[in-house]
Amino acid sequence: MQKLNLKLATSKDIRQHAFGVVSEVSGLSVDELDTGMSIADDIAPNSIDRITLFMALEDEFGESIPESEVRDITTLAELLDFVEIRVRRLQQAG
Amino acid sequence: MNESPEAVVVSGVGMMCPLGQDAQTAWTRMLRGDAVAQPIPDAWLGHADYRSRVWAPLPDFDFSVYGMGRGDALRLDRVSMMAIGACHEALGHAGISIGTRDGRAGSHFLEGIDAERTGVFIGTGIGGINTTLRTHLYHSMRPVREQLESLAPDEDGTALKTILEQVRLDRRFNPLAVTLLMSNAVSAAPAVRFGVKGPCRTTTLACASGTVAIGEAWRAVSGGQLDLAIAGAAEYLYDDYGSIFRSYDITGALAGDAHPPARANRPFDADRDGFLFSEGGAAIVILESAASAAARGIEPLAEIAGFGESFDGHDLIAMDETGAGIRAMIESALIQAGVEAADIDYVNAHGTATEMNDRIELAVLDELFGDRPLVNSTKGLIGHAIGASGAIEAVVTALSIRDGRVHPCHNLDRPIRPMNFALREQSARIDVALTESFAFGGHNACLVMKRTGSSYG
Repeated sequence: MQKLNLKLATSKDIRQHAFGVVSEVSGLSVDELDTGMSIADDIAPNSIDRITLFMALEDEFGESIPESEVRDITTLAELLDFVEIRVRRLQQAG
Repeated sequence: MNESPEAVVVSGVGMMCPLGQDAQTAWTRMLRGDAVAQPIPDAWLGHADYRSRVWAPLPDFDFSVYGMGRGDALRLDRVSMMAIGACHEALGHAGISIGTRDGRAGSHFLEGIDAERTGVFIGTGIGGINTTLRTHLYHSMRPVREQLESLAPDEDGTALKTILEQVRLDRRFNPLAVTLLMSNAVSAAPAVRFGVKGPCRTTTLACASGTVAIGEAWRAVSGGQLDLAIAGAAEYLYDDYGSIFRSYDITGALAGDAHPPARANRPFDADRDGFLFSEGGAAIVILESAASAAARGIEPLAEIAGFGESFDGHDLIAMDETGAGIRAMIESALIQAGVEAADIDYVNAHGTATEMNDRIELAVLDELFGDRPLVNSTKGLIGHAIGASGAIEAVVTALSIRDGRVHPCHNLDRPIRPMNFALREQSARIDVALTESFAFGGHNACLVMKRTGSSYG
């Protein structure tokens, strides 16, 4: 997976890239993923899978993601929103 | 084949080492006499005035060929990934298909194999040491780095930048650290991945780890407790600061800088002055009864006929000068294998290139076997992979028997004893072979292998 240029990334870029990371870590193809999917039931069935997923997102988007901030994320849609907000914040900070 | 049905054979091998990602590539290069020796990484140089400045790095491995991806790299130390890689290759080589139970979970099973009657025996010297050091570094130095980052920069900012560049840390303290660093992950991770349900053991005996792991697996299969064993060892000794390298260097055991890197590693040579530190490696053998291999239509590489071990009870680093423990170990393995000393055609020696080890090893080999068997040292080509070395050398011994060829001794210009060294790659009928390992701590272990179908079966 090519690195995303975070500074120039559009909303579509960020979401597509996050989709790719989720696909790579979960073993589900991009076509199989659906934004309505549950993180716990469909994407990262156990705690190690969940930790691995957020570590991969940290590596990809260059931000540390404290567990306390992602505890309430339950769906893929919420996860994509979370990632986009974090990247936008980075872009605004310059 | 005319070995007895109960004979335990090597039906497949896998190997990852500085000469290649798979056994056949590495073996082909060994026969060519290719050797790996390079200057140590520049990043290590600022941390100590090392005696040795040469090592044998691993190539960049492609773990995707074993179905491992980003998630595996976050969940497993490199040593466990290499163990899985070598298992994957060895199982395929033994004609055992890896079925998928849950592709997403990385859960597989061995087709046609009774998982409850299958065991995993994998040795390692220091297991997930890379993760141990990285997590310790993050834990201890992250607050220091944060304090440094908060300081006002000096006039041009370079002094602080220079200091910060030396504090190289991971992005995080890996929340899964314990499963990466625990030594038993080297056997547990492959056993989980391949759905093995029988005994799963990790042998930690420094440089004898792999030899003993294979020996214990051989006992379990030959004793009828298991139908199949996946056995060998893995080691990964890289760290960003060279502290593992320094631990060995400071003992004075590593090859010094009297020779250029390509000439530094010289087992059994009068000018030897220590072993070549290897970044690591992994090697696996699949063991089963000759009857089981025959029923599956697999032509084995070799038979394992005997396993000997002893403990010097002398010193944690230096070998017992008398060589008594090694001699007793070899003699017991020969009896177990039903062969005489005069039957040994080939010895894959421990051959580290330290002054004392080589001298004692050759004295014992000379006393027991004289100058009849061919002798070489695989460490002369790829350095010393500590816990993985015995398993790598067991694989090389099996391949030497199968192909009737031995690889050359590297840089052996002035042998310290007039033994029958393989000075160049050569062909030889090998009916019976010995491979041996000696470890820091005082552990000695050896395996006697036979050509399948040889008159010694």
